Amino acid sequence: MNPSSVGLLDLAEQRLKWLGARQSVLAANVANADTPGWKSRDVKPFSEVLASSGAVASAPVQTDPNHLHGSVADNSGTKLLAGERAPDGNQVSLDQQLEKIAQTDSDHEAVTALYRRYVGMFKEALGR
Amino acid sequence: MDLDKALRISASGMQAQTTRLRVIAENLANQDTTGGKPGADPYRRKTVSFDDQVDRATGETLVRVKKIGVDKSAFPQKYEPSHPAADAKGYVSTPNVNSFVEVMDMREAQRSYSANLQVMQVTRGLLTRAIEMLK
Repeated sequence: MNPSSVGLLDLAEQRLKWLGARQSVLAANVANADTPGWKSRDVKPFSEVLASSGAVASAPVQTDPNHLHGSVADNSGTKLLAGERAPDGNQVSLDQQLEKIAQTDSDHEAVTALYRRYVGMFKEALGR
Repeated sequence: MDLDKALRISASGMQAQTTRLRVIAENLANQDTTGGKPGADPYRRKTVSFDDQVDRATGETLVRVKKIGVDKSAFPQKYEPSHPAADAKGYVSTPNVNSFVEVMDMREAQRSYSANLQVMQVTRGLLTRAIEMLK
């Protein structure tokens, strides 16, 4: 089996890139939490980025009618209600931003863990 | 790299909040500083305003202190004829610093500073994990 043909490593790489980009956008929101007129920003949802890059996400395929066909809800593109605005026009809600950062953190952890496990499988196969 | 950017952005936020805290310290330290001569103006409260600034080389949106301005509100008058700075009628102008306002501002600066620090710690965690992938 060719590791590069699986697509999971590639997918993980793209996801990590996206998480890094998101982290810097969220950091800018927090840093500008007292800047007059600053509006909260966020990056495009990962699913859109993935679709535009032409990569196909690996999805479970139903090969038997008895398989469950559940789908994982993707809430990364959820439109949050615009936070209230301070008198100086600033729209950053620190708790909302920190929540997003925590989410980025745990997503990153999940992806790196997955990546390592996956590489570990190949190592195992190679007997190292 | 994006995570390096995030670190620099958080650092700029912390720096801006530090400047804010410095100005608050100046205001609080000088809240009783009156003028030296009769009728002279006392210490005038300073204010800080922030501005976002795009670093053209890297495209980072940093934050900086736009201006340290002055509070133009009127000085409270106090009747104290024996004071060296008292005017002809015996009134002394005292600084327009309200310690409650300053303390609240200080709290906010502290919160913003720790939020930036928190982001920095998370970013560092991401970097560390990425490096650990090599092991």
